[in-house]
Amino acid sequence: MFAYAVRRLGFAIVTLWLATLLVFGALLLIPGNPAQAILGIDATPADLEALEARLGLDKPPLERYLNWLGGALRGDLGQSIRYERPIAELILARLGITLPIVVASLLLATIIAVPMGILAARRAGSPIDLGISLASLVGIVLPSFWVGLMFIYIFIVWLKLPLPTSFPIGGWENPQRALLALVLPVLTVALASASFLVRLVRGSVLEVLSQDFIRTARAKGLAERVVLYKHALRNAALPVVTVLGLEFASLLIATVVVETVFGIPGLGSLSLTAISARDYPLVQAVVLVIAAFIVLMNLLVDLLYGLLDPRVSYA
Amino acid sequence: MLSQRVQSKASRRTMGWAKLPLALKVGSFLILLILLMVLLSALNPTNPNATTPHRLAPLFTPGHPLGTDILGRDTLARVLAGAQNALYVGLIAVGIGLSLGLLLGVLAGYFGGWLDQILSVLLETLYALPALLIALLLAAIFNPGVTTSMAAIGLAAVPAFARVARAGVLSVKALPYIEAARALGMGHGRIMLRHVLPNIIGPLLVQASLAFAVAILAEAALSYLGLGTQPPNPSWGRMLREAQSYQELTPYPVIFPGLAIGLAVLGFNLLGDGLRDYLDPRKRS
Repeated sequence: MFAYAVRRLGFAIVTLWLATLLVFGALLLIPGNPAQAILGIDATPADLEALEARLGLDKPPLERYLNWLGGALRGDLGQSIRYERPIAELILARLGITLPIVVASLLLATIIAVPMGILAARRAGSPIDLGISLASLVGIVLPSFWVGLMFIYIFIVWLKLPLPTSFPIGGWENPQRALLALVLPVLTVALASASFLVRLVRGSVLEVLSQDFIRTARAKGLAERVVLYKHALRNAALPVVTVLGLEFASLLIATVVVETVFGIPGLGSLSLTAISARDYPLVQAVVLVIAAFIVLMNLLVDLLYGLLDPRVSYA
Repeated sequence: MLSQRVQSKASRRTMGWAKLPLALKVGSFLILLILLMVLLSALNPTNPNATTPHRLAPLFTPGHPLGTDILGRDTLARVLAGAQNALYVGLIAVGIGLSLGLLLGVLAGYFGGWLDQILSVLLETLYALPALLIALLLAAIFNPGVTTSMAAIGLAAVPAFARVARAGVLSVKALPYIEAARALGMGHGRIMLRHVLPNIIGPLLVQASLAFAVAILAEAALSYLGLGTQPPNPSWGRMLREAQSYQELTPYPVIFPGLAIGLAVLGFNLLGDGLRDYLDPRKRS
């Protein structure tokens, strides 16, 4: 297990390093002068030169890459051109809004999906199972941002619920208003995620229920409740727990889109502003941070899998 | 005698249709529906981008069955044209994902060893960059548009195709007929093309169908964020973005593109699921 963990960690580090190469290399492909692209065509030569020096464009690419990588390793992602502030600071502030949405959505999704999935698996083939499966299919095929728009229409335009349609400008300074502003986004992201989880829980429980040790447990006269909770669910939980980890990372992306629907200044709006302002260092940093997050979650899930399931061996 | 044979053949065919998985049938039907939308869009005399003085028309207005948006553009014409855009983006994106993924997956699976190791690290890196992140990078380098979004969605689909292809090759590679082909002196290229590829086409088709559904969702999301199809061209995601700001005046320009996305995604998802069941020898009786 230890050797496996070390190897897996090495793999993750190499992956991350390749990601930095890709992200940095991609921006070398910008046609023409990046400083010109940022400042526009009527920039003065003096301004251009100053920005080129700030972006380090006067240095060779390799030196720039090493400087950037060294900074990133120390947590310094450079300065944003648009905001004139350290990028790490900007991203942390936005994560303070995006991460609570992701965590709350995942929790809510689990609370909805696990009981529904178990119910559907126990009554496989029944109208209840069919209903749950159809509902989850609907949740999977409809784009989450459209569902968000429908929620705005139903809850705010129609039912006139007193929910704010945008995040308060002061952020978390007004916690009550901020929380209220996050109700619909969390509901939107959670429903999409729950639809996907229900299928997984159902499949996982169904598979375990068909195994021999469950038949044995029933044959020796255990109550169905004991069979289900003590024998089946424990074994069905493993694939669900690992997928929850991966879902965490992919929710970060899904949330970026839903944030735009609800006017929430999270990581999503930061990356879109970065694109429209041609703030290249900021684009690089946002992409790298999310990619690093995904690599990390993958690593955690793989390690967790080995810890949770004694049958998994890594010879 | 002859008529008997024809009859039995015909009955076998209808039996085959009845035995097809339900998901396959419903999925094919929905995709036919989307294709019909593309056809109707081509035949439709109403220009989806033409503005009229008839703004925010309600449903069932003569000449505008699904109403109009704030610029007086016909919602039906725009939803139909959006189908064409979605299929176009999906086809190119899945084409990119399939061809690159197939190439890398077959090479990794067939040759194994260090090539497999290197490719798997590369693919794992690509896996950490979902379509949205690649689209952000491409939009920063070039101008955001339908080309960058197709490229981003296609590149993001590569690892999944490669995984399917690699697994398929690994299961086929050890079979005696490949050994026989090699014993007969066939080259690697010929074995891969003539003997390996035809036997892994099934899982790849399943993956292509599922990737198509993902591509349509991703295209809509990117266009919604302003990173995909640019105005005035109709795209389902773009329509949602534009109609959001006046949603309280009329919800229809939001409702219909969303339903169209759902329909298309459902179609390709079901087709993929159905194909998998159909091709799975364990489930075929």
